[in-house]
Amino acid sequence: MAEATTQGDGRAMQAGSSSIPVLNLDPYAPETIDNPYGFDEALREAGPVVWLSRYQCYATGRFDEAQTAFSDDSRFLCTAGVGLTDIRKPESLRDKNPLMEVEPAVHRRVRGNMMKILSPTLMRSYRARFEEKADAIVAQMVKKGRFDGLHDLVEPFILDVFPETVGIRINPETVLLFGDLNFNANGPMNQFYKEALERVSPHLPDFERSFRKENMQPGGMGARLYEEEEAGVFEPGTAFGFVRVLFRGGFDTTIAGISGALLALSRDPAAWAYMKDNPDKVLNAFDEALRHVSPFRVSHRVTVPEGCEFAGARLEGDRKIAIFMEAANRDPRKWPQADRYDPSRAAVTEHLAFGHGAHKCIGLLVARYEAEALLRAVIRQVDQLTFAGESEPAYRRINTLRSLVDLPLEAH
Amino acid sequence: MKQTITVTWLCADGASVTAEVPLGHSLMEAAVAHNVPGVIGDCGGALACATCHVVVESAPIPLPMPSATEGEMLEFTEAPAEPSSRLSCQIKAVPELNGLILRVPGP
Repeated sequence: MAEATTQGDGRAMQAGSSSIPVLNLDPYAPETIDNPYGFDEALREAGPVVWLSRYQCYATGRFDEAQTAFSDDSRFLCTAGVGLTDIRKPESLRDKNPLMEVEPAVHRRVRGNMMKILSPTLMRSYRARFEEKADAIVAQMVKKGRFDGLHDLVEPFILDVFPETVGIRINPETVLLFGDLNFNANGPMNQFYKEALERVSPHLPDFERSFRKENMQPGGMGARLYEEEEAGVFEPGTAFGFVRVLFRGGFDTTIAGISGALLALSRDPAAWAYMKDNPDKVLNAFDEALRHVSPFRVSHRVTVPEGCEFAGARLEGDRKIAIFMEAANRDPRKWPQADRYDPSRAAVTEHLAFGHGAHKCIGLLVARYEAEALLRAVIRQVDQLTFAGESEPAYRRINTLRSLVDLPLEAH
Repeated sequence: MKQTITVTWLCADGASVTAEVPLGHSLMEAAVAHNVPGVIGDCGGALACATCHVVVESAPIPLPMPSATEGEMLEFTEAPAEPSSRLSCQIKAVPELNGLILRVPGP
């Protein structure tokens, strides 16, 4: 396998020829996207850190190493972008995320100011409304008996409550296309990315308009981001990027996580019985779904310019490292019976689906409250939830997002 | 060596909960596991919700200072923060804290 890296790029040869194992597998091949767990295991078992020769970057799929790579900013930075491509280079078409893809000191200041706007106190105040809406939409599903848990339930719920919570306006017909493009763009510029770009291009001007100040709900969190920019709290031009973060982060992964929980609960009578007996542990059903089938597959950091020691190896400076949360969240070193969905497991909140450390998902609280409301309504109102698909559930082909095609369910 | 420490929570309704907390566990996790009313941990220990607010009543040794982020998050607690307020997801059970007493502030 090492041979693949000995031609062309001299740096790559050096990186591959040290004590670091070379992995010549493609995490973005169609069959791997359809079922990534074989790749994930190969990645984990090859070593604590490997050289991914196809993409000329390091990669890790083990829990401890993934946690460290996410959080240790003395060795790993976000400044080259958290996708596979390097945002500092012109060929990367990704726009810089002004919250995340910046120096650690800038991030700390910006995040602190953003938290004042996306405040937990404010988020808590929306819970009663989430609950009311969740109860209503779940009641409709129970009446139907058979429904698509993704398109009839989770998607409409999130498209309804998230924009109103953060004070943005969306076009419900197209908003999810933006996520398709983003989660493909975090990976390589392969066929999936090109097809998504083609599908989404006609809507890009609309998306750009929807991030602007005039599209914010008066008095909402989005409007406040713009007000604080005007007041000099944020750098000029960054509020637009923060609002884009809300569009990127607020829909696809939350939808995938809640649908994942419903899928698991509908296929596992023991898990369903546990939730019926412990309805106050409803967030465990969500956390365990995020661990078991992590919606966001992989994120990246870049090594500090001088390089660093990591997991017993020497990493070159200024190289990307792919952190496969999807693999780390099933690392048997951390999780007993890792392939099993078990909402009663110990340390259920310690998964890396939201990332880890200073950059951990800034919107996780709103996602958790949304998931809590919807899953609680299902657990309360439904006696028996069953998967009604005729074949194994299928996932969409998106480079870095694991998201169901549909979710046929029956509720009694 | 003992693998747990004894921690007591004084609840807002006047009751108290005393539990053995395994070393390394956070005191938010421990409170949730023992159903201490008022310690919730909505964010799962990510320093993002401020629902695991406690006030340190008595500690055998001074606790390490809260991080800047914890300090900022204490602005979002439901009950107003006090000088010795902490977010209990950030306090780990270590042998030196055996006998720690925390108060859960009322609404």
